[in-house]
Formats: sequence, C-alpha cells, structure tokens
Amino acid sequence: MKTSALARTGKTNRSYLFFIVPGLTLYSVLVIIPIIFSIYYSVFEWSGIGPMNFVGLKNFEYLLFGDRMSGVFFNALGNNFKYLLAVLLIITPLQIILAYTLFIKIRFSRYIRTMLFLPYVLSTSIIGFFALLVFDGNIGVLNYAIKNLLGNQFTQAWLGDTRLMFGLFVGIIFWQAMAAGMMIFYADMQSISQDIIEASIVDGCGELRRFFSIILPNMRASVTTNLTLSVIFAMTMFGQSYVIFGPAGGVDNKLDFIAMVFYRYAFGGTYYGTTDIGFGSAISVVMLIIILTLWFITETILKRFRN
Amino acid sequence: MKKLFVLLLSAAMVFSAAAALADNAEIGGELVIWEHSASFEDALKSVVEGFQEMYPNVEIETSIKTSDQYYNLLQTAMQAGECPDLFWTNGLATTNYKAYADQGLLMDLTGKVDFSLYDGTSAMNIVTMEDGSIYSTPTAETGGRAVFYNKELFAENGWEIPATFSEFEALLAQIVQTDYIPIAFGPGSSWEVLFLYEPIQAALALDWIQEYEQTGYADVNDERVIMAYDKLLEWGELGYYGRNYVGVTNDGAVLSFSMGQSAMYIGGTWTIATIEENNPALDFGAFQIPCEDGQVPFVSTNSCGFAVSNGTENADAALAFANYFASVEGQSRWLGALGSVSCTPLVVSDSAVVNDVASTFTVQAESYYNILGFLAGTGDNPCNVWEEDQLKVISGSMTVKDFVDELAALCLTREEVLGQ
Repeated sequence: MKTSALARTGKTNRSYLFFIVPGLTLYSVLVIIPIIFSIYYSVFEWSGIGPMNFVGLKNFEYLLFGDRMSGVFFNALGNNFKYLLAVLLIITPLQIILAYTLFIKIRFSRYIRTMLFLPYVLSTSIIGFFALLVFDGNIGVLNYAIKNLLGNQFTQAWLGDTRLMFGLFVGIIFWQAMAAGMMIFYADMQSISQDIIEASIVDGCGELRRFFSIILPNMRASVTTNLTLSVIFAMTMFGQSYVIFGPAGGVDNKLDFIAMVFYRYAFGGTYYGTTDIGFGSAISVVMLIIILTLWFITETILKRFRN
Repeated sequence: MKKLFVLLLSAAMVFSAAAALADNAEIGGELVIWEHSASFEDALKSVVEGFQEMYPNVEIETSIKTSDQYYNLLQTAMQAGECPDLFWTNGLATTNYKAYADQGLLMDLTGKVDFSLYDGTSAMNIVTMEDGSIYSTPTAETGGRAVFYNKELFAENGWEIPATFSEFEALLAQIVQTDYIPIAFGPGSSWEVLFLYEPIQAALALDWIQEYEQTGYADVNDERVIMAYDKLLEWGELGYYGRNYVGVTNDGAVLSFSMGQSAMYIGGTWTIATIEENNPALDFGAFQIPCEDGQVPFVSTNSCGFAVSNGTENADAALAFANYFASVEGQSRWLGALGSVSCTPLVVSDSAVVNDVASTFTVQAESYYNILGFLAGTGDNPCNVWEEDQLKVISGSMTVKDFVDELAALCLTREEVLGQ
C-alpha cells in the first residue's frame, strides 16, 4: 500500500514537471542564459566582433566613477527614480481612482472605459507622432489654440522647456498606459464580494469610507502585483522617451534613462557606429543589481501590506 | 569591298553584344543586400531594377534595417556566419569599417570594381584605406546642407537671395517682422543643430575649415568655431527660429516649412524628397549662406555605398552588382531616387531644387563633425560627447566655450597630428 502511494506521488510529481519544463526551458534560454552571458561580457573590452580583451572591473569603474560617464549614468539613474516616484505617487493612485469610478458605474462608464483603453492599443511610434502634433513649438495644436485664444506671448516650448518636459512626459505616459493598471484594479474590485459592499451600505458607510476600509484592503493582490510591475517598468523605461525625445533624452538629457544610456553605448549609432558590448553589458549588470534590490525592498514592504 | 567591311563590322558588333549578354546570363544565383535606413529603400529598389535588366538571372533579396540597430544586427549576422552578400557601411567615417576589413570580413574590391566614375572627385576618400585598398563602393552623392526657401513667399514679399552674409542677416531681420518664421529649426536632436551650424560656420569661418583642409589640423575649440556657435544662438534670441523653437522637432520644422509657415529651412539635401512628399505643390528652391566676401561655401560629405562580404557564396553576382552600383547608370538611379546632389558632372539630376544646390556654390567645405571624427583621440570619442552635450548649448546649461573645450580635450593635439 505504502509503495503504491509512493509510486502515485512520484507519478504526480512527474506530471507537474511536464507543465513546468517547457516554460522553464524557454525562460532559461531567453532570460537566464543571456543574463549569465552579460555578466561574462561585462569584464571584457569587446566591440561585439573580433578579439575580447579581459579588463576585469574596469568597465564598472568607468561607469560609476569615470569623470564624464558617472555624470551621465547618475543623471539617468536619477531620472529613473524620479519617474518611479511619479509612478508610485501619481500614476498608480490615479489608476485606482479611475478604476473605482468605473466600478461604481458612473454614467457612461462603458464609453469612458473604452475611451480610456483606446490609447493603450496605440504603438509607441504613434504616441511620439501624436506628441509632436500636440506639443510642437511651431505647428503644435496646443500652441495654435493658445495663440488664437490668448495671444502668442502665452505659447510655450512644451517638450523643449526643461521646467515642463518631465511633467508632460509623465502625462503622456499616463494617457497611454493608464488603462493597463486600471483594468487590473477594476477586475480585482469586481471580485470583491457584493455581500460585503451591500452590508456596508446598509450600515450607513459613506463612499469614501467604503473605498478606504473595504475596497482598497481587498485589492491587496492587484496592488502588490501592479506596484511590483511598476517598479520594474519605471527602472527599464526606454521606448516612450526614445521616441519623443531622441536617444539622448532631449534638452539637458532631462529624459535620459539608464536603458537609453545602455542603448547608446552598447550599440552606438549609425554615424559613429562604435559598439561596445563589454561596456554595455556592464551597464546592464548594474541595472540588474539595482532592479533586483528595488524589487527586494518592494517585496519586503508589500509583504507586510499583504499580511 | 566596302559592303563586305560593313557586313563584317556589323557581325562583330552582334557577336560582342551576344557575348556580353551571354556573360550576363551566366551570372545568376541569389544575392542578399542590406541597407541601413528606410530613406534609401526606393533608391535601392531602383538600382536593383536596373541591375536585373542587365542580369536577369540574379535573384535579389533586399532588407532595409532601422539605422540605430543596423550595426548590431550586422555584427550578429557576421558572428552567425550569415552575413549578407552586400551591405552598407559608413566607410571610414566609423571605426568598424576598418575593423571589419582587418577581421577579413570584407572583400578587397581594389581592381575588381570600376571606380572611374569618381575620378576627379573626393568620393573615394571615404572608402580608401591608408594602403590604398578599397573595401566598399562609395556613392556619387554629395550629402550637403542648404538653405531651402519658399519661392512664392520670397516673390510676394520682394525678398531676394542674399549675396553676402550681412545681406542674409538683413533678410532674416526683414522676415521676422512678418508672421512667417524666418528659419524653421527644430533642435530636437544634435544632428539638426549640426546641419544648421555647419553652413553658418562655413559662411563665417571658411578660413578655419580651409586651415584643416590644407594642413590636416585645426583647433576644434578655435575662436572662429565659438563665433559661429554664438551666431547660431544669437539668431535664436532674435526670434529667427520662432518663439518656441527649443520645443520644435526636426519633423515639426520640416512640416512648418513644407506648409508655408516658415520662409526657409536649413538642413540636409536628403530632406528634399521629404519636403516634396509633404507638399508637392510647394515651390521651393535652394541656396547657400554666403560669406561676407561673396564666396559661397557648400558643406558636404561623401557617402558610402555597399561592401561585399568576403564570405559571399556568389562572388560573381556580388561583384557585378558592385560594378553596376558604381557605374553612371547605377548612380543615376540611386541619386535620382534620393533627389541628391552629385559630386560628378556625369550624373545629372532632373530635380530643379537639386540643380539649384549643385549650381549655387563656389567652394566646397568640410563638415565640422567629420573634422571632429578625424581628429578623435584614443579616449572617449568626441563624437559621442558631441552628440550627448550639443543640446545643452542650445538650452544654455552649457556655454559654447565649455562645450568646444570639452571636445578639444578628446581630440589629438596639433603636435600629435602634425608633429610640430
């Protein structure tokens, strides 16, 4: 009896493996192995072709302490953290609020939901072109409207104004990507038992109190998932900034992010064409360490929230 | 006797043509060609069509990559042993051309491709190594900068093409009094600043450029370089680029000119096709910013064509393509599709704007960016630093002097270049 029980357990374990192995293999080949290779390349001076020269930690030293390079790196890292704060303090709360307004089924909520979700299906290139049409200093619709309504003296450089660039960028990202997080929160809200909500109404609980005491606490799963993904997204920001502001992050490198620094130095550009896979790998290793650290901190804090 | 002679001559000609056709028919197989930018797609298509008329048995697969990923993809293909038969490089303008040649990845084309089209021009400079070997075809394109102007606006307002630099500035001062933006300028990237800066520098400091051309060296932080940058910034303060030009992208600037909001646009000759596409009804021409002494400099750079992979499995067809590309017909198709200026009188454009550009200068001038690249030292590449910090000069967060001093620190010194 014992033997057959053990045999059954063995068979069951083997069944699980059939489900796990394909995904694990793909993940290993496409993620884990490239990470290992990146760490390996990071200690070499290598353009991607030809001989590889072992340089030890020289790439890291140059990145973190080089006269010029450290300034570029920490400026970009600072922008990533700034953007992370915007995600945590502005974008995520707004997504929750929007999800709640849909949840409580305000008038035309279906239409609003569709309109809010539409920008999400647009590609990053379209978003960049849209930003040009709206915010361009000469031909942009916004300045055209301001000029005709208020006068030319009130027009702005918008995406070229270092005081406004970051805020506008966060606004553009929010406009494009709010639906993704919002729908996750909305779905989680819908899974909250209606009995609890009805009971709160019967007990005279106001809208605000219901939101903070019932809705939000029951959204732990989606909040923690979303926050974890947001942290990673903020630290790997690349596409939108590249399309709108170019490879160097616009005026004064105000929207330069670590991933863009990596891109510039690892792959070079067409004109100067100097690729530096070794140094680029060093940047990616440092990025990995930073993101893992942030993920760990986030997980530790969110664990308490979940409990 | 005469009749017999004519008959024999005709027969010889027929046999020669048949032999050539037979030769062309013998060349077959497949070729894979990579180009680095979608803006050259039509030009490549036109050249391939012409080539296949001569070599009908060669099947060609073209692949147009995005410029910022091109070298990464090319190197990956090289490492995987799947290098395309022919591929674009930027020649000696970038370090990897020599690196590829040193690695044995490029076929030495010396003596295998007829480059006689480029005799008397500087086109071969970009592809010829120090030892005289050639690993890529150039093109006959002279990629230059020009002042494109709206002919209708000029005619309506009585504005004339300036003959001196001060006349040009007087023209700008006139235009800024109207509702039109004098110069559509979008400093969204360092390149747009460069393509405006270089014509200004050539007009104000031609002697600095010629010092480099004649001696092989010039200080990249020379006072004359700074003066030209200061002039560019001064025009911004005077409103010659419009009120909010810092927030304008190049696409926005080109659109602004195409739609008639701006009187002029200063940029690359490769923009001609884009302007024509944006607004086919726009009647525009081109001129150069003149020097005060009346000289009209034209800042131009030569461009590169295609290298042949040393590992190509179809060397005959690849070399046939390289030869066709380097021929008058090949370059006529290439430049015709691009709407580009030719460096040789053997290739003539049928575009009025292109002919304007080609006919309105008196002296060619080297590009500041190229000079920076040629004088690069062994540390950080000054071209990288230039690209990252150029826009700080526009925003004012870095002075012109600090910027050019930073570049100079990364360049070779006079002693290192000239041994003086």
